[in-house]
Amino acid sequence: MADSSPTSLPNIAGVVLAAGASRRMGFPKMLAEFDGEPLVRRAARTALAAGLSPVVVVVGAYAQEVSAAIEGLPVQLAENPAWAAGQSTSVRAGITALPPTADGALVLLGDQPLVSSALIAGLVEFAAPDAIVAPQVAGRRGNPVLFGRSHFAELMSLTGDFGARRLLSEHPVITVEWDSADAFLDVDTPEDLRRIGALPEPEASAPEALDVASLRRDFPILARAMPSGGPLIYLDSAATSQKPVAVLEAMRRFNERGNANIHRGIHTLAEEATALYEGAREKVAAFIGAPSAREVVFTRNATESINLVARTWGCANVRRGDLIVLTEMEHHANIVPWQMLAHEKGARLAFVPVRDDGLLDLGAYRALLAEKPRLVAFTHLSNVLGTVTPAAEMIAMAHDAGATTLLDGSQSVPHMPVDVAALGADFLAFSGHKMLGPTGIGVLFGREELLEAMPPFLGGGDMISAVTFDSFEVAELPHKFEAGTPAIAEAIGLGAAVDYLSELGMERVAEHGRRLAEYACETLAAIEGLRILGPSAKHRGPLVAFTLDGVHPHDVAQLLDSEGIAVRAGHHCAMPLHERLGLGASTRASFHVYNQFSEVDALVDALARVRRLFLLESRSA
Amino acid sequence: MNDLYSDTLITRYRSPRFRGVLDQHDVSIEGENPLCGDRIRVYLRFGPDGRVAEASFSGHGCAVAEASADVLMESLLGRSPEAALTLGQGDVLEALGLDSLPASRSKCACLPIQAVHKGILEAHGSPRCGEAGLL
Repeated sequence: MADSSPTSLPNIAGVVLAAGASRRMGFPKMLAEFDGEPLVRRAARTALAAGLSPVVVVVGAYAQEVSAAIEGLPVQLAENPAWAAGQSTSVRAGITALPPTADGALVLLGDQPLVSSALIAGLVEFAAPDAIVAPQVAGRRGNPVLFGRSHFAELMSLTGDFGARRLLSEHPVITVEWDSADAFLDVDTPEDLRRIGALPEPEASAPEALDVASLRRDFPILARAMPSGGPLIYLDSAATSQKPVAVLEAMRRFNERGNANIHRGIHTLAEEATALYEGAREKVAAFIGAPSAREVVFTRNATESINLVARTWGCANVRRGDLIVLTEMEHHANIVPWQMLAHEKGARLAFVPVRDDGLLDLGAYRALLAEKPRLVAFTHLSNVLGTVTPAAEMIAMAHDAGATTLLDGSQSVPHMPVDVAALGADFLAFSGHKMLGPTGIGVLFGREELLEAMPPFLGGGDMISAVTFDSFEVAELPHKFEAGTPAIAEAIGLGAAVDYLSELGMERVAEHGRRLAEYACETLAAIEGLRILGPSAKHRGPLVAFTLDGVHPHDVAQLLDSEGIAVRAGHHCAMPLHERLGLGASTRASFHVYNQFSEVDALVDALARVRRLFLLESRSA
Repeated sequence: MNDLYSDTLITRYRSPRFRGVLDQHDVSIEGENPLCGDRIRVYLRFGPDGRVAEASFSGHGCAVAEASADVLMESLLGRSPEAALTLGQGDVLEALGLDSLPASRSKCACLPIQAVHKGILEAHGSPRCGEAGLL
């Protein structure tokens, strides 16, 4: 490493950005080790070695752990509580922390372990109060970038996730040619770490199983005692999931320390609240692979999301005689809004049949598409049958027929990787409370061009850009569809839930649910008189609904409850499907990340006792 | 397993005494809890004295609904329409040997009771019956 001679240079500070959540890494990447030390420590040490002074390390996500990793180094810490709102907030926090004597600041990413002090010294050579200096390899500019003091004000006015990159396109940049492209490598995924030798190669095969025993400690409710005297065995996550401490804390922190309305106040709390709310939107967008956060509208729940589409897109696009295609396995939330629209418009509804094996009849679907429907709306994962529908294929077929598509992701988004870009969905609706988040917050994803063309939904504040006594102009996306003060704390809670699920890894979450459902199907099938609804485990998500001969589902649920086992009994908001199955009701056990195989065993044992209690002779009506 | 499922309740559910269809009846009415998918049909025949001479039920519900229907039919025998309208959830629970029901199951016991009340009021259509405590 080249020694620099700080005394001969202008006073350049270092700002090390180490506040991000490392969504794609699955663990705090700043703590990943390279050459025996955590990435953040290496970045701070390199900055110090290059003579930068002071060196400010901006921390946000995992602030405690990251701070601990740089303990002992003569650096200054800057906390960025609004880190989730994007890298710009960290740049601002770092620049704010600089002393007035700094002539410039070199902004380093904490996750670029191959940036050397020689590279930094090479940039500092060109420092000037109004200069921007960046390294370039083979014609491509990269990080770190040095900003002269006269750019500080502009750096502090940045918003969003693009950090300081915008300045580079708006001002002349001095580029310093560098010979090693490695310098630019930033670590975003475990693969990146492996490439630079910081992580061992993974073993092939299925995703690693969740450490359920330890993650259960994140869910305080699982520790509550039940009237039965035993533990809570919660098998009703398809109705609503339990919430980890990270979610509860994020909401508590906001309500206790950050509460303010968003998008309007010119004060610290309002700005922080806006940053957190919009940060949650960014997280949700990344979680579902939405190309832009403008395509993510916050609603109350999936039901409201679907109604929003029916009342806006539907009112503008569905005409008399048009066909709307649904399936027989839809939740009422994806039936009733379309019935209302169809009644109003004189449109027709048709339902793709469910075959006896629990899968959709795609031949019948193809036949319906030949009638050129205006819309196809269907579930990604049936809340009764557990069926995972071939969504990408069905959406592509619908598009070929000229139809717009809405995917009900209420049960899929919480349990499996869902990527709207890969699926090609026009609309995706889901709720926060089924994905470890709070109630009162839901999401509608819509493709930007569709959302732009749609009329607004509810009218009021926040959804307008200007109002006169005569008329109004609608606000930009996504605010156009968010009239009135939204559920701010709940959105922040949902953002925390997304972080939590992302860190577990959705592949692993899906695999866990699949294994539990498979195990439940196997063990439940051994109970005499028990009939499992829905398809084989191969096509099934994390839930199993069933009937038990001679015992009403409500009696089953009541008796299971007396043993601390919470299941759902009834029609699960899918009365037409139950009619199709010839059933009044069923009992459903549904799982999430915190459920254990031993809980399935407890369910099976209890059901055997229910069966004995009710051991019936055959009766006639 | 559970206090709700008393021996009486299980017995009346497993071996009902009043299950069946009355071909000769003055009242035939179905009660439904669409949210549970439960349907219970009640049949009543009045004697020359105007009192309930025969009562039965058919259909399907949970154990609470069916056992309630069975004990309710028994209680109805010999009652005048006015006296039948005074029967409520308390009487059914007493006959089943239960002190109370979980709030979520109250509607199960009420299903046959409401059907009986509605059937009698429709059959007699008499305002003098209107004040009787329904539940």
